[in-house]
Amino acid sequence: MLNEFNPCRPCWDTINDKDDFNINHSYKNYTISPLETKVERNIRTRTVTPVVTGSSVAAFTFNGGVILAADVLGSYGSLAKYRNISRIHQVNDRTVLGLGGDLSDADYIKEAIDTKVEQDIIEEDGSKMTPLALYAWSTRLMYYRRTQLNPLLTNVIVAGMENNEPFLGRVNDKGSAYKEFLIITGIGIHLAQGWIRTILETSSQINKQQAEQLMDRIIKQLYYRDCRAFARYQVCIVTNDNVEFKVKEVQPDWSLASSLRNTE
Amino acid sequence: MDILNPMTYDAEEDRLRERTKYSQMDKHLIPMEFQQQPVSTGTTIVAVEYDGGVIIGADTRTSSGTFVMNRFTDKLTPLTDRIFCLRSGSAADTQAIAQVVQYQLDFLSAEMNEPPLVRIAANCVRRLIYQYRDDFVAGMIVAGWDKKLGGQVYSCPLGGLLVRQPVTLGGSGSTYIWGYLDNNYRPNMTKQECFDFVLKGITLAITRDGSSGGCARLAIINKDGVERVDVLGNDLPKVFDL
Repeated sequence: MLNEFNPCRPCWDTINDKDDFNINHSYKNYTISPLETKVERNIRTRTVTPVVTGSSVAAFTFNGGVILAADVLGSYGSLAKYRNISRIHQVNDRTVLGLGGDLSDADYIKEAIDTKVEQDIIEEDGSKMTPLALYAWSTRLMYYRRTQLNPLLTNVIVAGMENNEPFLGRVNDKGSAYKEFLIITGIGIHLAQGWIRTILETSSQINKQQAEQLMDRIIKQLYYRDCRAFARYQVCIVTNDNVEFKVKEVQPDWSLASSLRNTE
Repeated sequence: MDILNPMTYDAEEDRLRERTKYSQMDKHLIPMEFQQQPVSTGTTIVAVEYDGGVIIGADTRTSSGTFVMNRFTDKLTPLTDRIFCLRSGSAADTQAIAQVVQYQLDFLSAEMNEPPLVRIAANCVRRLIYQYRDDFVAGMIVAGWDKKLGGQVYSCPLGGLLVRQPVTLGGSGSTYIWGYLDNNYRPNMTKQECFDFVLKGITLAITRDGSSGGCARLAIINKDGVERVDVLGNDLPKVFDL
């Protein structure tokens, strides 16, 4: 009875085979394949593209708070697959997060932040996550993933009240972060950011009512011109008093359609 | 340019194509939404035959990548008084085809002294697509009414096929409504049933397809003429949402 016969395992010394023919000689014992180094093994050899994506998120500060809006759609390529996904996430009573881009990575970020918030509650030292702290922490997270060449393909908008002042900042998938009074992510930067910035710069501090109307106008514009937009959207308003969520529906104007028959 | 050793014709073509392409850096510099992507009527088009005519319909969105170029497009292009074509695919290609076929049919109707048959119109479209099949990206539906055979719908898809069908769909949005068609279409429906079928189909496709959207333009073609109906985005029938 043969003990442990393994036909694939050679029974003679294959490396130091000393016969003239060197029949088991192989150069593979002397070469290093490019994917053998540790760094290369950790780099994925194919690009990962976002799968289920959220479109644009728009946000700006007004007199006494911040307003964010994002539609409730998760697109699977061009298919409008998941039509009730909330992309604005409340962290605590003065901070919210707006997420655009890959939604599975967005869920990962939400889980990471919720874990942090729970830690704070457990420690019971009275500290609470402020928007600025969250913004800084998100930058570190996104940049770290970028350095590992494994980015979280999401744009994160951090908004809230910092020392009773409105705060608004964005971190993108490369870890590039900035703070502004107006932040739009996705295709909205091309469709809306320019003219909204002009409006906000030239007008004096607008109040909550005007901010809501302006946000409705922005979302309507995105609905007209973004292929991946959806009619239902969520608006979030953060003020010193509370965090308010609303779900709204775009009221588009199609009246030009009849006059534009027989045009291309 | 070397006169003694001229490049072969193919090499010249390749050079030309390289020059007209934008730089490779565009992929990295320009955000994905604004990279030059061909303008296409990523679309939903539907055509149905009924006793006495045809009912055709399309959405109104022309997109370039994820940007909506035109939200009021009219994809129902007349080829003659009683024959329409529905355009899907590259906007430029389909507009050019429609223009050429319009001319050809106009000339033909002068020669024959009678309106051309729907099959002839569809054949003109098919011949063009087939001749330039490697270059054109055009999926068209030709539908109309003629004296000989009444209402007819012909499908002229990408490779240059011509096939007559009682009902047909086209465009990127059509993938989402084949099931609706299989479940809801019955032969010998009345004019109103066909109209509702086309409108519902377009609505369902608009709801799901990112490249289709806006309003629904429909047309009813019969021996008395063409009746155009535009159903605005807010007035589309309600379908399940959430």
